[in-house]
Amino acid sequence: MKKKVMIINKVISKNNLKKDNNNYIVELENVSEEFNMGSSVINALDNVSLKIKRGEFLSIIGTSGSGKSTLLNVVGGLLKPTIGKVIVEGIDISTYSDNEMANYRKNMVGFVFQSFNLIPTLTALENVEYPMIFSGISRAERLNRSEEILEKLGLHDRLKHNPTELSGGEQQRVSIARAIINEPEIILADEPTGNLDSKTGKGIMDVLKTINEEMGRTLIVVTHDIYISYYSDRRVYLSDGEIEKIEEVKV
Amino acid sequence: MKFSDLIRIVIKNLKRMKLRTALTVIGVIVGTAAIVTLVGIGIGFQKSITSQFESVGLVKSIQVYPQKLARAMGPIHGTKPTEAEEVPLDDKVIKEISEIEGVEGICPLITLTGAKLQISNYISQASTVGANDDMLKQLDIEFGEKFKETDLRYIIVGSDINKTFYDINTEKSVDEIELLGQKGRIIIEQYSSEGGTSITKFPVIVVGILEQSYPDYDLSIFVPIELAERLLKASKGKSFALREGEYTAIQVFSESVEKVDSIVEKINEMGFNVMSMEQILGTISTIFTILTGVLGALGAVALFVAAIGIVNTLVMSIYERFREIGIMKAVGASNSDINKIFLYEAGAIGFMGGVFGVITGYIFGKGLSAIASYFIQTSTSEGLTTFSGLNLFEVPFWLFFGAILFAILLGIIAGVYPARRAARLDPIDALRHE
Ligand SMILES: Nc1ncnc2c1ncn2[C@@H]1O[C@H](COP(=O)(O)OP(=O)(O)O)[C@@H](O)[C@H]1O
Ligand SMILES: [Mg+2]
Repeated sequence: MKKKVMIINKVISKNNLKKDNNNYIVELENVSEEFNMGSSVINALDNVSLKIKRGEFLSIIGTSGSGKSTLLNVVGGLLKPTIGKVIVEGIDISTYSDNEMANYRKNMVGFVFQSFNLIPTLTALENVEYPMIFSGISRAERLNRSEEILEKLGLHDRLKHNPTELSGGEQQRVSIARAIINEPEIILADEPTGNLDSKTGKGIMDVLKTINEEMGRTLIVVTHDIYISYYSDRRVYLSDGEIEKIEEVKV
Repeated sequence: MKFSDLIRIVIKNLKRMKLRTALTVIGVIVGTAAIVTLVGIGIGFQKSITSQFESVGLVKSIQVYPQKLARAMGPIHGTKPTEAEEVPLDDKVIKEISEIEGVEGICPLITLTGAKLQISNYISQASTVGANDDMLKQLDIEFGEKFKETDLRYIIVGSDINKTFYDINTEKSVDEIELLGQKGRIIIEQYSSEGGTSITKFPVIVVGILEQSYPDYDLSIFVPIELAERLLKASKGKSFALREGEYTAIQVFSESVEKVDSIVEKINEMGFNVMSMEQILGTISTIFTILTGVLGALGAVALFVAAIGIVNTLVMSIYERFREIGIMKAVGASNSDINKIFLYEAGAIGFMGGVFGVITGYIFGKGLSAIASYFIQTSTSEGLTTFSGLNLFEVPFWLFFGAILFAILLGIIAGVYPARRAARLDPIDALRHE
């Protein structure tokens, strides 16, 4: 009971903060990411600076190969920038050790992938439960929480199904459940509708939008589809690893 | 990560690659079984041989020889070359030795191989041993009773003597004959240099039969020491080299195994050469310990090969679980979480192989032991029944648990490299992998 009250308080304070333009949860300062491919060097990100507000829904748009996924992975702590700072809640995570990075991914961010990336040998319930194993949460609580979230996402009759027995939309909802199970501040979605038909895709975007609005989580969605970006508050245009422009989305 | 979750994940992973896990485990089973079987046989042999000696109290006996004779027999442990004149083994020496702390009894060692025991029409050529009261104390009677060393007509025989007789007329060996209470005689034939033969006969009565102990005793005839001296004189005639009251060897009986060493030392200081069963057993034990070690090393080689199998299996599973490892890292698994999962998988393979290997090795060793003792029994049915029901295989507790622990340890060591590789996977590479 106590915990729920706390969560509600958190949400309220976040909604308040959302209006405060000076509160940034993520700040990228002159971030470059270079990949060595044999003798040539690929500049996946080229001197990118970007400030993301707490509770904001940001979309990143660009053609294939423009560096969108790389940007998301840098924010998500899967990738360290070659140059530059990635400041999250005031701390530069690019200086983190492997262990600190793992902790950061466990507690601060949740990933949603284009290809779902569910573990094929585990059921929907077990997939959602999985991140909590590394947080040392008891099995009983894990199963309770996973079940609760899956039910909220309309998957109460799919708990024991393996990913292969689920439709694309169902799989993506399972992976969204997995992304938010540890209650991270930031949710990162890399073309979450890329493998879905447009109707199902819309459903997924609605789920993400709800999580952003009702739970107050910061949401970053990468897409090459301009229509998806209409769900977001701001959109960032990326081209050849550089930010072309940033614009507010008008409703 | 909680330990229970770690175990759950490990079991799930091993189940997922059932066939490969099974094959890898079989490798460990073979290695562990080899260790248990080979080392168990080494230990079993050592135990059964030493217990043969210990059971008859032989470890408590010490043989004493004069310096010269001992040297002629070759180097013996404890030989101290002295410039001093050779000290003869006589009654004075016997008295001196009997006063050493820990000496329970003493008996001159007189063994005749040329004497024959005749009972009615049957003759045995088993060796004849002189025994005084001290020596008789060391023997256990099964039927009848012991003699006093002064009863020159009484003898006792080993438990298998009744199988050593042949018929005087047909010269064929006879089946077991009844000996207890029988009258007979001991015959000595002496060939003189002129070509003539003189025969001496001593009348005797069999008053006792010994319990089965060890082959040498089971096949000996024990006569009073004075009779043995007379028999010896009769067989050697004038050429008898030793002077009156001197012996070629004497046997000393210690109160306990622990006192053997100090007694041996004191007799050595007196200028005699000493051979004790305990020393010999010590040497046998050392040889067997080395042999057991070599056998164990052979088994360890098999287990080492199995460890390479574990490395291979786990490295292959890294490739299969490439993407999964990336997902685990993306949702917050640390390098050490992944490292642990792989290490425990390796350890679990070692554990399963160890447990089943010990069981397999035990069954295999027992089987070999049964076959071996069957063959020993059938091939020695004429006499050495001592070896029947012999346990040539023994797995002590330390070997049982040691082998399992060793298999687990080796598994974990084999897991170090794959676990490290899995833990260090770049999550980006792993997630991009299709
Ligand atoms: N791990 C990597 N190794 C080498 N090159 C990479 C790697 N990740 C991305 N790239 C390259 O960096 C550029 C940007 O890739 P990415 O961020 O995936 O683009 P997008 O998601 O916009 O399609 C591409 O040219 C891609 O080939
Ligand atoms: Mg991409």
